[in-house]
Amino acid sequence: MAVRIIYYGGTREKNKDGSSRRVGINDNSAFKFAALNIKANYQKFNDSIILKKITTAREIVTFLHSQSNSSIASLDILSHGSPLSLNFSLKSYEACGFYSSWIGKKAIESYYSDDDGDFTFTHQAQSVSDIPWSRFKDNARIQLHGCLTASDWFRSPNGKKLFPTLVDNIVQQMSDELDSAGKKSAIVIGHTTRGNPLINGSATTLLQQDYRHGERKIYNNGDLVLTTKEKGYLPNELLKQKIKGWAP
Amino acid sequence: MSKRIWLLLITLISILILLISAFYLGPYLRTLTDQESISLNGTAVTYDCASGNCIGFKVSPSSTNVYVSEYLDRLIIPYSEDHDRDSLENNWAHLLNTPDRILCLKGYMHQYSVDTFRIIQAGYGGFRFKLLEHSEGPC
Repeated sequence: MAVRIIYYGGTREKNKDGSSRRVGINDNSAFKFAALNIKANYQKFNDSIILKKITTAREIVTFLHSQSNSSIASLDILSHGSPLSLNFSLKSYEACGFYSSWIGKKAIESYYSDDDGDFTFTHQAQSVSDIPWSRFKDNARIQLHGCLTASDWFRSPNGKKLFPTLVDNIVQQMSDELDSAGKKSAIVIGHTTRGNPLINGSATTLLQQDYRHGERKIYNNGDLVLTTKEKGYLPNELLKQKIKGWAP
Repeated sequence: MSKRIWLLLITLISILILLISAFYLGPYLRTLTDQESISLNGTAVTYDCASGNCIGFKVSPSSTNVYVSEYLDRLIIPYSEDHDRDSLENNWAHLLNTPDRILCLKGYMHQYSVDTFRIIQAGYGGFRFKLLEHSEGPC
């Protein structure tokens, strides 16, 4: 049986003094509600669904290693993100998420460093090349629900371009890795804008929270194959119509 | 001296100036604050930071403080010498669930943005604000 894995969270939930960090708890709660909506969409497949809270990128990589070859049908990660990283953190100024490449890691370390501290990736952080891509099915679907993961620009909250990534964004990098692993029909989906859970605007209820709206880009074999503003789950039938020559 | 040596010399001096700016001049300029404290109306926003999402403020118009017009829409990043960043954010987290909730912030504005003389931009930019007092509602 194929497996569908949904990871949510990653935002720091503890303050320096050990007390609860409300901003982090609120963010992770929104990620959880959105993860439950993804899970509901996947119920129609006859696959095993695993929902897990994010701790570190290393834990994710270890868990993916424990799966059989060509068994993972989909992987969804709901967390904060940037064009070159997935941002998980347990301590202030310490990242334990994924980065796109060595250059991406250095750029992100500089981007998040400020006069209050130097931002660094800990040994719990991982490069996307550390993910065991052989565990994914040939037609696997990866979706990153965080901000800007498929953007070629760092952007301000209002969408204004700040500066270009100069290297492949993290979604494209993952698609390259899948291509190298021989997963020729696999696709990777990410946002080009700042994601938010308000899929129905200000009328969105807690249970309706979902990041699958706004502009998303889809990559296959390292190439951009579709840019879409369709809301919600993107069925294969729809993608087949829109992506020339792609067959899941 | 040949043209090539001049070119090399100019390149080396330019790199030296850039390095001095990035490592010494930038950090110094970024610590400079205005001489006088000001009171601002701020609307809570989140911005991209080392912690994922941090709470900053956009300067809102004020009927009493007309001089803040130059700061309108500026992202300000408050900090306090008495409270760490985490405890400030814990106090402000509820503001994010209430759009357009105004906070009155009193303190010293830094003269240069957090990006001044940095090689790579820091997050979304903005200006640090040395916080003396804050209270809910407009100033």
